[in-house]
Amino acid sequence: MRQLWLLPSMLLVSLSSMGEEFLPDKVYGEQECVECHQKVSAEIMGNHRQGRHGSGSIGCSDCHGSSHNGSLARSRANRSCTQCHTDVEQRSYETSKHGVILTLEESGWDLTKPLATVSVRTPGCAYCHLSDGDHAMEPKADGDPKICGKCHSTRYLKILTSSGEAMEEVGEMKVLEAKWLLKWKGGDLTQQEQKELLDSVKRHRHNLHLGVVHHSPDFQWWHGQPALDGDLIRIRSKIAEHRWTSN
Amino acid sequence: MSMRPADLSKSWCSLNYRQLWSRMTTIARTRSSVERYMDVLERPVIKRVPKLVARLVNSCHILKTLLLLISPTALLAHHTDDHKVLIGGVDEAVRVGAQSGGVDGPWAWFAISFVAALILVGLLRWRGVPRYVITTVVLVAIAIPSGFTLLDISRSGSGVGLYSNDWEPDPMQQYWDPENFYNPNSNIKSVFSGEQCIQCHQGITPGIVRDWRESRHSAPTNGEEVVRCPACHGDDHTNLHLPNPTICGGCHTTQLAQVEDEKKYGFPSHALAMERAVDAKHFVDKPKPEVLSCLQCHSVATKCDSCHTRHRFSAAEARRSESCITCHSGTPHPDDKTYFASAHGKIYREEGADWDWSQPLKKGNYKAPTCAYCHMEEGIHSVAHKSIWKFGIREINPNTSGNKVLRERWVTLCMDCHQEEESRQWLRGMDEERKDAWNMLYKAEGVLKDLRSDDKITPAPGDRPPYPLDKMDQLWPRAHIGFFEGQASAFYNVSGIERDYFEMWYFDNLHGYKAAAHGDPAGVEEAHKAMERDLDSIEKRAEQLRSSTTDSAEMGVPPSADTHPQDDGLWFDGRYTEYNRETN
Repeated sequence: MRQLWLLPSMLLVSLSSMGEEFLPDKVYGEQECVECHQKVSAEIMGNHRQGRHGSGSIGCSDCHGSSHNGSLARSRANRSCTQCHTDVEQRSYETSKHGVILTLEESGWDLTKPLATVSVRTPGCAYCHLSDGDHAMEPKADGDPKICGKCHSTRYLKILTSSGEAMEEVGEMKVLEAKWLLKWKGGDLTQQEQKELLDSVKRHRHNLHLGVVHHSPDFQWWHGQPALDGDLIRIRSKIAEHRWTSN
Repeated sequence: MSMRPADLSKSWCSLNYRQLWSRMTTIARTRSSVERYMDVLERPVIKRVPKLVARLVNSCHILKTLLLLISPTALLAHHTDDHKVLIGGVDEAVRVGAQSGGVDGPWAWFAISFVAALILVGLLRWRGVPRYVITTVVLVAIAIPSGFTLLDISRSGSGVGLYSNDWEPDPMQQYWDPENFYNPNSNIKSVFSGEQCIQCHQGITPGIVRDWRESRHSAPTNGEEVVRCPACHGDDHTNLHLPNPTICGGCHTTQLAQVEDEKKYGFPSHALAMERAVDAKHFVDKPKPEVLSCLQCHSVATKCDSCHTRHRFSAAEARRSESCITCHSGTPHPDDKTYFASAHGKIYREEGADWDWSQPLKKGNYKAPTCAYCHMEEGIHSVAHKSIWKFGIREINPNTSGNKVLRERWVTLCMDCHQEEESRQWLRGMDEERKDAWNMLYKAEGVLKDLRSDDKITPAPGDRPPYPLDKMDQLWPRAHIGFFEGQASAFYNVSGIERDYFEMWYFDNLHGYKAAAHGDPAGVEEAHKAMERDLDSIEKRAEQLRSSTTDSAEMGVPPSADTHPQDDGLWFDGRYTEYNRETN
């Protein structure tokens, strides 16, 4: 009964959002979404099925909720992504300047409007990963002027992108060095030890990648590069230790 | 040259300059006497001297400070402000000196020291002082200005800073340090008015135009003029500039003056962040795309939009704690984690969204403090003006006359909400936390330095790529242990035990410090437990290193390999290590 006061506003919202006004405000099951949207938005549905979400078990309601009421605004809010994409994915975004602005201002944004119309001040997850409503969520080129160009100059984006690529190349060199060390000099190490060392390398390499694409200096550096330097030292020390003990 | 045996029987102290030189050359050329001296050096008592000196220096931290003070540059700058010299060490003194001497600081110093030397020489001659004393005075008088001239030369290369000759900037650096590196490079050749800029950019980059429209620049509240694009970027499209603090400070004069004033507190500070980043040895040594990550945060000294994001430049935004976390997060400075875990942070998280952020950061305006409320109270654009413990990276005496002034500033601030005695108690709590942390750190440092004295660090500094950029290190390979030896750059190309100490010092120790400073006791406990574990494992590893071998040169070599140890390449080879050796 306490939620009764919500009813008028919910009605208002659903009436004002285009294309949703004919629909009864009820809770829909996943099957219902699919059946109807196969007809009304076949392209998006096909797109979704091709993508990683659709080929997995992520359905419409996971992001849009199970009612038409405010379903678009809900999916545009960052929360709809960070409920699953937690930990480093969330942190690397939230510590970027984009993320900071979003944390501070998102509650004041009108998310019923499409994101690409500069109705929001800074890109959240969906702004980039679902630009053009791409429900397959194909990986986006970092610094694509079509996505970032509404605020940043083409020249800036070009330099930023190539700098990010170079940063990742350095990280990749560290990964190659680690693999090379383990393969050619780490013969004495047990499988378990090798796996643990390599997992740490991969984790830090992933952090670096997230730092570059989400523009979080903290992930590029402290969770990335020097952490990888530490991994290389640990691998070498471990190999050296094994040599002394077998000596 | 023939040698007169009588020479050697004379005491060293009674020799004049010429006799001294002749004895030195004689010793150097005569095999028998060299051997005689070598015998003396072989005596067990003498052999222990270097180690004893090392122990003495390690255990006596006052001596370290004294050593810094003895440096002539520090002495010269001493008159400007004693505690600044103490805090910042030699390099800071150079900076303070250069500032007090104006633009031509080094040359003014050259003249001063030259005249001073002349007067001294005159006085000494008049008092009949031996000639070698006068020679020493003259040499020092030459050395100081030469040092400054060398400093000038070292700053004149393609990069910036002390090692500017050793590196080339990455193209991206122009955006992090526009004053030094921005290249306008636009092919639109015309001069535009503010309205024209907006008209065109409304279509090209609508996001930034919208931001500007929402800013105070576009709608000043107190009858000031509207600040349009050309005010900051210039109006000639072929020669646009990116704003830096000087440009912003054209109008925001108070804030710029505060930023300039912050420099006198030394590093860590916002105002000196970029200078220190590019002067770090690992910055110069590592491939530039890699260390570009550093500049993004250290650009807080060279741009204003680190806190007031473009093009809204909102003060309200910078007052919020989140605006600091882009840089103040992560392992060495978990300011976000420790603040949000504190009572202050919890109140802010719960209620902050509803507060009126247009209010200045003053007593009574906010229920709980944010980062800026304490560190930049009343909007003062200097985070270092109350910095006592220096980020926790080195041990300081919290009760020097200078630091007592800073402590009073903290107490006054905390008293916005808390009792005076309570505030003082917190500061004392911080002192205690630091004492505990440094006890553990010095123990670990001692273990490492003992290992170094006994040549047991493996791989030994000569058996791995040299310490970044250090010419001395190539001549005399040496492990760099502790803050004063440059531990901050010793996190790669080092042995396992050195990296362990780096992590203990830079990660766990700083976590403890931040937790204590922000009021997160659970964080302090967690960090100190981690430090105990670190110390324990460092001690164990040291024991292992001592017992596992007698000759460090044999380390890291598989038993079957009969090649030279370095040929195995365990520490020298590898894609990145090789690339890093050739690229900076």
